[in-house]
Amino acid sequence: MAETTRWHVPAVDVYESDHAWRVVADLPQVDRESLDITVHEGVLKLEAHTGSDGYRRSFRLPRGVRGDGVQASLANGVLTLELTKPEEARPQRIAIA
Amino acid sequence: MFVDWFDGGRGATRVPAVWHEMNALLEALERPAHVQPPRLEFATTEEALTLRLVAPGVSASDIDVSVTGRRLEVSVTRQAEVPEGWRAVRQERRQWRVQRTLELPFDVHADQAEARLDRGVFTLTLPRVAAAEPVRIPVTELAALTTEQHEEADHG
Repeated sequence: MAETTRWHVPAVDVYESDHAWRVVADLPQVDRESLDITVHEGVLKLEAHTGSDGYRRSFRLPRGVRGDGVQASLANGVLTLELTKPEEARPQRIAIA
Repeated sequence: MFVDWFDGGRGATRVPAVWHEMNALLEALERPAHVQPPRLEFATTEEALTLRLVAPGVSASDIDVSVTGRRLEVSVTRQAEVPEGWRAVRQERRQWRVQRTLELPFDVHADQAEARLDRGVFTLTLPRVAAAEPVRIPVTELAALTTEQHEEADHG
């Protein structure tokens, strides 16, 4: 690629429930095809291109989170990822004897 | 580099590292530049005026556009609410509102305006009313008109 990419760090929200995390990233003009989401060695990496602009962001994941538990959707220029929490990160109900 | 566990709001309470891992917030490895509301961009051509706004997360119902004569009013609002059933851990995506009223540099066909929202980018195209050109008015002779009317009457 001869063209130089201007990289941007997209704004991201992170939400949490008892069972999952939700990562919401602003990726205007990004197509599904030019979006790359990877989980490798405990790091979640987002990379996207739109012409000469690119978006890059990465997050270190809590121990035990695996890539196969990630669901992704792209709408209105916003990427939403949902990562299932591993068992050890979920709240445990303590029974009272 | 590996900072930024808690991004404010929770105070400076020290928590054991293990607890961090258990509680498992996602650690950001980069931070975005200060997020500003987007800017309205305008462009004019021979044919039209175009307005563009980068507005990720905005839906059609968040946009209001009206044209009155040469006055254009635009209002775009982006909501930033915590989705129901979730707790916010990090919120960089800001809520904003872009509101502008401006005088158009030429007359436009407001009824032919095209407003679209595509992958988080809003564009509005207002076709320009062509500059007035002289219109030739054909002159009909009264005699000819009378003859035609006679013919029509004959056929009828």
